[in-house]
Order: sequence, then C-alpha cells, then structure tokens
Amino acid sequence: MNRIGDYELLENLGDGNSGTFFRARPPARLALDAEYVTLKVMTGHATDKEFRQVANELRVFGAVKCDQLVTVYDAGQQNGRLFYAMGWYPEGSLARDGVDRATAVAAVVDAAHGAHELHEVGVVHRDIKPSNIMLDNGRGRLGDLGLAQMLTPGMTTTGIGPIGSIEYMEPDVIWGERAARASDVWSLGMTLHRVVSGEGAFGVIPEHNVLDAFRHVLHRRPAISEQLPEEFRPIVERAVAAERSDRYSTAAEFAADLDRVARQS
Amino acid sequence: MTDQRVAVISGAGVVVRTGGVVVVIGRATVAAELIDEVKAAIGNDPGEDLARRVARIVLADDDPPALAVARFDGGFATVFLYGEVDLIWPAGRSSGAEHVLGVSRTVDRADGFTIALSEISDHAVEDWNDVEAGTLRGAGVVVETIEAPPEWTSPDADDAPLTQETPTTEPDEPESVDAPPTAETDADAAESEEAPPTEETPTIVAGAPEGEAEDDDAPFEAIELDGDVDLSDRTPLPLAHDDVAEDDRPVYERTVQVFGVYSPRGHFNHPDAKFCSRTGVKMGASMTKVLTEGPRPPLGVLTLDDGSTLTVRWDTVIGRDPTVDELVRTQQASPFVVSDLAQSVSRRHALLELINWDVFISDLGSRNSTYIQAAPNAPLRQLAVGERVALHSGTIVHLGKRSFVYNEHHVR
Repeated sequence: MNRIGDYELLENLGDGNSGTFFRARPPARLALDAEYVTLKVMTGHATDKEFRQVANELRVFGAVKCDQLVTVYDAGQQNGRLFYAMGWYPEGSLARDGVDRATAVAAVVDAAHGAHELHEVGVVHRDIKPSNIMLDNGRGRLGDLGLAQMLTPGMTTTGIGPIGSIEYMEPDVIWGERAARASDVWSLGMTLHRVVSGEGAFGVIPEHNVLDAFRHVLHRRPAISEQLPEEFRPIVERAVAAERSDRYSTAAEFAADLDRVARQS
Repeated sequence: MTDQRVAVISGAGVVVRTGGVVVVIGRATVAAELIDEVKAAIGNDPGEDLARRVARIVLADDDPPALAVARFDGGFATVFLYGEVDLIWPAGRSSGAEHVLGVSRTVDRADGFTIALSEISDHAVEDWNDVEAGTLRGAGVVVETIEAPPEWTSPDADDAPLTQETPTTEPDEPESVDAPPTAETDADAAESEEAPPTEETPTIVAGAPEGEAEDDDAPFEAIELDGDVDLSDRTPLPLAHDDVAEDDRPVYERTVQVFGVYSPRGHFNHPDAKFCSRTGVKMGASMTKVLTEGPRPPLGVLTLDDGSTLTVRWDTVIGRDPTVDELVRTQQASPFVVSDLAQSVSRRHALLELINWDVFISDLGSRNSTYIQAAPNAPLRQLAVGERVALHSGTIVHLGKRSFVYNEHHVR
C-alpha cells in the first residue's frame, strides 16, 4: 500500500492501538502549509455509520481549540478502511529515548491540559500513554483518541499494537466500567511514572496472552518505583488511587499539581 | 469529458459551468457581477482550493445561499456543499447542512452523481443537452457516464429493520459460506480478501478496479475537520463517574441484582468464589461469607481471532451490523460488531444473554449458523435455532469464518 484516498504514504511509523500510523504527503485539496501529515489508517472494516461516528468524534476533537492537542485535518474512508490525518511532529513522542526530565514533565502537564479540555466537552480520551504525547517545540500535544473503544462499548483492547500498553489503561475500564475523567487521570499518572522513573509501575506485563496481561493489572496495585523522585510520588499515588473518587477529580487539577512540583524542582 | 454528460435539473436556482467546474447556487436570482466574480475565480486557477475561493465570494452575503462547487479532477470529482444542497452518489448521500461550514466529498466520476437543492425532490432530467459552459437556471445537475450507465442501487435497500420475529430473513444478503467452519481459518481469511464487497461499503461496488489486490484507486470519501464545530451544547463529563444516573443509561447497561458474596475489599462475587474475580484476593472463610443481593459484575471476556477483547457485561448482539436487531434498537442489548469482508458473519448473528451468573449464546437465524467447541480440537457442535447454550471458560464460538474464545472471571 503506498496510497490511501488521495494521500501518498511515505513511511510506516508502526502500529497504535487501533491502526497503523504513516508519514504521508497531504493532498493539495487541503491546502496545508505542511509538507507531511501523520496519517492513521484504522484496522478492520468499518461501516458507513462507523465512519460518520469517527468523523464526528474527530470533528469535536478538532474543534477544541487547544495547543495541547495534536491538530486533526481530515477524515476519510476508502473500501471501508478509515483514515485520518493529523499534524506531523518530527520531534517524536514521549516514548522515545533521550527526552530530558523537565521536558517530559512539562509535556505530561500539557497532555493533562489537553485531556481536561476534551473532558469539558464530554469526551474521554481513553488512550493517554507516552507514545501518544507528541513533542512540539519543547511542549507536549496529546494525540488522537481511542476511537475503537468509542465505537464499540465494552471493547477493551483492539488486538492491534503492543499488549504492554495495558500498563496505562485504567483497570476499572479493563474490568468493564464506563470510561470517565478518572480513567484518563489514571493514564496520566501511569504515564508520568513511566517517563520520570523510566519504569512501569506494573512491572513486567506478560505480553504473550492478553488475558494474562489483564489479570496482571487487575490483580495488583501499581508499585511505585524507587527510581521515581520523591516529589512526584504523591502525584502518582493520587492519580492512580484504587478508588476513582480518591483520584484528582479533574485532569486540570493533576496538571496544576504537577506543574507546581515541576517548578519547585 | 467525452464519456460524461452533465444535465441541469429544473428549478429555482442558478447553475454555472465553466471548464471542469460546476457551481450550483440556491437562489432564484443571482447578480451578474457575482457570476462574473465566480467565473473569474474559477478561470483564474481551477486548483484545489477552488471551492474555498468560490465559497468566499458567494458566502460573503449576510444570508448566504446554498452552494455546491464540483471540481472534476482526474477520475474523481470533489464536491463542496454548503447549506441546503445535497450530493447523491450511488453509495451515499450528503448534505451541506451537515456542518455549519459545509462539507467536502470526493466521489468517483465514473459512478455519476447528482447535486440538487434539498428542497427539490424530483431530480428528473428532461433534456440531456450537455451543459458545456454557461450560466443556466436550474436547481442542480446530474452527472452521468454515457457508455456504461451505472446501476444505481439504493444503499438503504438492505437496511430495512429486521425484527425478532423474522430472524431468518436476511433478504438479499449474499452470504457466501455454507460449510461449517474449519480449523483453517488463516487460509479462509486470505480468501476473504477477494470476496465480493459488502453492502456496507457500496463505494467499492461501483468503482473498484477488478482483479487488483491493492485498489489504491478505489473511490474514497473525505471530510475536512476544519475545527469550526459548535461545542457550546456539549455537556462536560461528570466529575464522579457515578453521576450517570441509572435512568440515563441504555436499558442493557442498567444494574442487575443477583445473589452473591462480597470480597473483603467490597467487590461483589459469585456465591462459590474462592478468589475475588476482580482482585484475585482470597475470599473470606466460608463461615463469614454472607449470601446477599448485589450488582452483577462483568462475567467474562471474549477474545476474538483478531486479538480484540470484549468485556461480557450485558446482553449483546454480535454480528456484522447488529444495530439492525430489534433488541439493539430498543437498547435491550448492546451491539458488538464483528467485521467480515467475506460476509460469512450475518448482520445479526448470535445473541449473548446474561442470566444470573451465566452467559448463554444462541443463534439468531444466521445464514451460516453458530458452532461451538469445548476446546480447540473438540468436535464442532451446531446450535439449533432457538437453542441456548451456556458458555464456559475455553468455549470457542464460530460465527461464519470468525471466532472467539470465552473466558469467565469466576473460576469454577
């Protein structure tokens, strides 16, 4: 595949939770200044109805005027394959090596602000993790939504992308609860833990079997790493509290607290 | 151009055609200056942002008219719609009123299409005199390929609601598999790539080049996400998740009370549970267990052959398009889509029902039936219509060429 719709696919960037990312050249009809876009091609075969749902959700995402979210340009479908175009961020994501701590923490603060703006218009992001926080001139932008889960209530994982990303997924959602603000707050806490300590708070998650991975995260509490500097500990602990009601009630509160700590350190 | 003809639909509006561009303006009279400006904008450069340029001119008005701008571009036509004007193509229909700033669609020229002001219901064309250039009175245009007039079939023809009473009727559904499923699912999956396209994406039917594995040139549809959506009527998420009132949930999501026991940490479990299914923690000694009524927790997980997982929490209709099911329509059951290009999965194929602490499956009169297996090498058993069978951990369920494994949370 070197083309989808009127996009020229240039480079396969790997799989996300519900599809494959490409660096692509945008069609002239969009009249973009940008040379490249990030194009996500969703896996599976979508009905027209699903396409409309995805497009609507992305429209809402795009309408949230917020510098802490990636830009979305265009959504399309060809042969039932859904695709959508987002900004191209050559600096990569928080999942790559070599991001210094100050930048990483600032980017998590930004992602939390982005998530909060989505919450305020009734949208749960559902897919906050290091690889979905893009770096853009030293700041962070939260990437695209967990759309597959939005389309299919009750679907917990899509079978695409690494099982290990369960590390960032709120166990309540894996168990079958409705996703809520608290789900994204959890993911922000786990993301913070990972990018600051370099370790996952769930240890090594079994990757060969999704049910084992589920059991792994359902049957234990996150264990905060020794590598996590003391000042971040209370923030992570509160973000990943067992009860939703014990967590930060909004992502903005998480952002404010983290920002305060980051400025002190 | 030679293989395509464009005719005007009569009605109160203005159609401008120049070069490879057709503009429809939803106003009985339009000032000549405006037409000149539009033509100048087109003549200038029939490039990609043409719709934008034309829209800027026409929509500068305080009370902008409906507007459609169609630009022919190789094998495609890109159509910008604003306001009460529709684009109808064999596979679908779109209206400029769908979005405050209009919508943009790309359709396959070869399929033909109609652009018409929404108020016009009769799109009949009396005179096929080709409109090569000029400004005419009209409410829209019909674009058609001459040599091979497309077979226009309504995309909605197959979408008539099916009721519970007629589970076996899936009228024109060309489901292809009659044989029971085999273990050779991989080979089957490869076959399915070449299978006829489904009616869910009729765009393929009309335009896909035949015999090509990768049809990059298949028609596509795109919606620009230009960001100007009115968000003022959106409700913020509740601060505590419990704020979603019982009555505001779909019926299937409402809490069902069953008898069970609470774990030390307050998770409600199966009466016989030795370990809490949520946390894995050992349940209290049997003497201290008190059987009580509580909210039924999720009962298990389906793992599909593509690796995706579904929490089994509510009655669920599984199929290619389960929204056609009456139980889903009435929110008695949630829909779970199992996509299948080969159409071996029926639109409403099987029903999962939660009764007390058990999950049952039944076939909904699917074309290829539902088969279950106790383990990977166990014999296949076909479900009779109306038969309801309990699922246990490890039960494999085959729906046409797709399959899933059920695992229950409660360890028996």
